[in-house]
Amino acid sequence: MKKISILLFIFMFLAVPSFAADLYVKSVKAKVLSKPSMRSKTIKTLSRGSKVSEIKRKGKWVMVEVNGKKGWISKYLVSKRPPMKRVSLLARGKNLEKTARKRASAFTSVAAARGLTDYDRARAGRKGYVVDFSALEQMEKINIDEMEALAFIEEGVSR
Amino acid sequence: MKNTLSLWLLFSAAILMASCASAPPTASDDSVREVRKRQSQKVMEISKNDVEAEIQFGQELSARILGKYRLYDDKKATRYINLIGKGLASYSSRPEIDFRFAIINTDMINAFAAPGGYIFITKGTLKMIENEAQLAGVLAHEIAHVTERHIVKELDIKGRDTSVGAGFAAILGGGTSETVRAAFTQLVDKASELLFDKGLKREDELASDTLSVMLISNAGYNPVAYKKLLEKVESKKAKKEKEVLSATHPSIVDRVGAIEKLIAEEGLDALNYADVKKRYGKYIKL
Repeated sequence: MKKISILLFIFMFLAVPSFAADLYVKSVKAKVLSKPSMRSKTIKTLSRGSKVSEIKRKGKWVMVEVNGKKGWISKYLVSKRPPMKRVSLLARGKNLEKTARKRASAFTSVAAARGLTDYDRARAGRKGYVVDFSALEQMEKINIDEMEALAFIEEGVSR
Repeated sequence: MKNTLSLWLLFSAAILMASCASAPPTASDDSVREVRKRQSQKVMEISKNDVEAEIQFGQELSARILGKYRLYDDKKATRYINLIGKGLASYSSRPEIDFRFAIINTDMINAFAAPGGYIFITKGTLKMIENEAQLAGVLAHEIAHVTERHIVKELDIKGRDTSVGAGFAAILGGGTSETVRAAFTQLVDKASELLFDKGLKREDELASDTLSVMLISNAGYNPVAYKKLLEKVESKKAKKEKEVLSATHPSIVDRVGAIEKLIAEEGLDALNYADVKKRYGKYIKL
């Protein structure tokens, strides 16, 4: 009986679940390093969405296990939630945007001649901010692929 | 019988201890409740609706930034800052956001971030910057404001059906109540005040500096370059150009101190990372 009690007592402590949690790589890629330092050796490079197990944390670093290997990863590159897919309002909400910009256009072009509508006054806010949706549209038109941008940076920093 | 009872008690205690780690504490104490609240906010799921509301809010705020300062139409320079910005954003924690970058036509030294990934850098800042690593530092600081959802959290912008953000979708579609529209405009007003006059919280600015340093280091840029840029801004004699920056950010001395500490702690100064000066000069001619 005494032995069983001792075994159960040990079980009490072993039964406390560990705090190891799954983490997901959010950045396009993330280096797993041998030590919690940017200066240390790269063990492995993970891509976005890769799952790792958290072992412990130290400052800005998380010790993780991936495929049986342990290493350190920047805490800024991982999260408890899997990465979300890109959310774009440009494709889905084109009509909504058109409506918004049509109204904004009314603000900038007609307002001076006829005075502001109630809607435009509301949109301009308490301080009467000027809004420029055509410039925003111009800004949104620039479409650069993430991998192209990444390659551009890598080309620059590797020289 | 006695032995059976002891065994049963021990077994129950073991089960109880095992479940303690996941069971909610009896939160009679306010501080415990506060910690739990913060923890739950940290792991709170951000829905697609929340992101959409954030983007729509960001579009409205961005239209105001562009109305106030005007777009600087230099296609080569704009494409360049988008290449650097998008590349940096790919290292960030929010792949759901399609980041966009623009130059605004003012000599003021500053940069802005609107929710939803709309980032603006002034012509004055680009004039002052000497290399790509410094540009990366400024853009990464603004990216961090978006990834950490500083304005979104401050104003509690959500995409739930009952929220103002969701209501705004209806405004754009042409039908919603005056009350919802007015409430939304008030929120955009508050965000405008934060960007143009009051500034974000001091801790949010310092956190964005930290993230910026780590982000540009991950991308291979020299983080010391960002610190040098801030020192250059501080030493600039033309006080008028940095007036808004001073009013909306913590003191540059404090920021430089925090960055120096971080660089030393992480040993980032020992890395042979790049400044990329020549390419910056090739694309930015102001």
